[in-house]
Amino acid sequence: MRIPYPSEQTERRQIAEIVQKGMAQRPSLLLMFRQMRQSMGIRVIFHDMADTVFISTFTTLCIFSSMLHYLKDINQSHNDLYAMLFTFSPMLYLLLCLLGLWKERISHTFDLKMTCRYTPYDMMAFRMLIFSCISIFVNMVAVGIFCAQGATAHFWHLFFVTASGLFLFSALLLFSVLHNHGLLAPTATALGWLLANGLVYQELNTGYSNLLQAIPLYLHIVVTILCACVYFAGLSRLFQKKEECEMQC
Amino acid sequence: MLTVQNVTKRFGKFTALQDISLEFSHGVYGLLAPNGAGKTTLMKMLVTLLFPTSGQILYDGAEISSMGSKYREKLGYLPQDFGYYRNNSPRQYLHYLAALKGIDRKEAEKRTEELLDMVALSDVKDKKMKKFSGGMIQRVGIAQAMLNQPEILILDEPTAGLDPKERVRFRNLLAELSKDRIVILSTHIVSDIECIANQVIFIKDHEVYCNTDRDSVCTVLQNKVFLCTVPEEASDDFENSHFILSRREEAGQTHFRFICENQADVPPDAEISTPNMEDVFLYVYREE
Repeated sequence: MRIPYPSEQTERRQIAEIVQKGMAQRPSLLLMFRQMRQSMGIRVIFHDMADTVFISTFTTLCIFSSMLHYLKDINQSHNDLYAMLFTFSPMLYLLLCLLGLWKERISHTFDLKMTCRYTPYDMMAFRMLIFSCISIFVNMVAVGIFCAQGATAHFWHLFFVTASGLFLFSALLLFSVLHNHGLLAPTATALGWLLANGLVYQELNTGYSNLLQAIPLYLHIVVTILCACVYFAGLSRLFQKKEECEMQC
Repeated sequence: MLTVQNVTKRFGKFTALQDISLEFSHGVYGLLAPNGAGKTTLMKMLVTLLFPTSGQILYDGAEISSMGSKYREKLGYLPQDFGYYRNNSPRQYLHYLAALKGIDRKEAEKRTEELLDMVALSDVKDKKMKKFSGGMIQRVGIAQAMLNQPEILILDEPTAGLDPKERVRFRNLLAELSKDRIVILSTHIVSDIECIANQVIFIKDHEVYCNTDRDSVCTVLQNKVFLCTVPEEASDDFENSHFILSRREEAGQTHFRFICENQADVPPDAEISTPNMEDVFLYVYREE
């Protein structure tokens, strides 16, 4: 009797297929986001967020307008500009994320959504990515306006000060969301950011802006890239995060 | 099959559940226990909102927490505190949840209409939910749990707030659904379990006290439940010396339904009565 063994080539192909199916690699973050967008659509991901977006945008515009008004003689006081832009660069991101988290809490839908295919953490990760892109754009426009108003600062230098501030804060906020289920840690992070920057400014006065100004452009770029890498790694962890809801039990 | 293997859940020093082992296949499982006994903790572990401190929960042999979204796709869940967006209509909210469950849009629209019809909310499907009564909200909750035609349906206090007519409709619906899926419902409304559950699970002192079929539950009180009529003036003494299940006053007489474990203590004029699940519930949790 002859047993029909498969050829070596067939064996290799079948082994590779088994390994591929059995040890399925986790798709990249961007691919997961793409699948999520295709499956759910942007309207679902940003469900019930119109008021959050409106309040956040309005508040950010007010802050930047006040800064512009305060620094109207921009050539004389541009030393304050660096500290202010660094501190307030994550403002839009901060408001969008915190208000979004707060609304999630008060609707009491968290438990229910955690049992769905796409969880609130998946959506939060997607939203945070979009919010950071929007914040970069808003910061860029704000820096452009400040430069157009006569600030002697270099556009890209000022832009990367805001970008490093934004990604540093984003990474800290993401870290707090990853390690705490409630609202307390993210709120404390946001307040801590504003308070710490305020204290440093009070302590060093124009020295704070001078310090940020003295840091060369390439170093700002390096800090921005490093913080962005930490941030994206955090976003990947946030996506499909499994977390007990101890607070509600 | 959904299997709970030697599961213990602790919150700090407090033990909510101790060494629980259960198996669920098709049918309706009723989880009966008073408040604080660990029902909701068990339910939350079954839907991966909580994870066991020790032991494991398996679905068809795979650990449910490691199955991730593949397990959640098979799940329908109605939490005790069903949250919703007040400004959404039931239709909008069901479409939204269908998207979160990964259901195709066309399929979601069809399914939403069917479910709203099933829970008798078709007339108000475009009205904002902030104007809804508690019973109507509960019906939206029941509909959303069935959106993805789940293999496992977990309902935490599903009949709370429903009127008797809605409750009957809901029981019939569950009986129909349980033909080809696992339905687990927790409640302290004994009549719900009595009508629809195939299997009844009592949790007492954070452990499984009994896990048996509906008909066997009452055997624990076989020949121990009695009916008796006592003159009104002797009723207080009678009440103090017996385990009373119910009491009714009528024409100067008090009618008692009571449990008597020792045959020698049964009053001579007492009639034996068939025990029901409520009697068993009151008997099992008599100290709580």
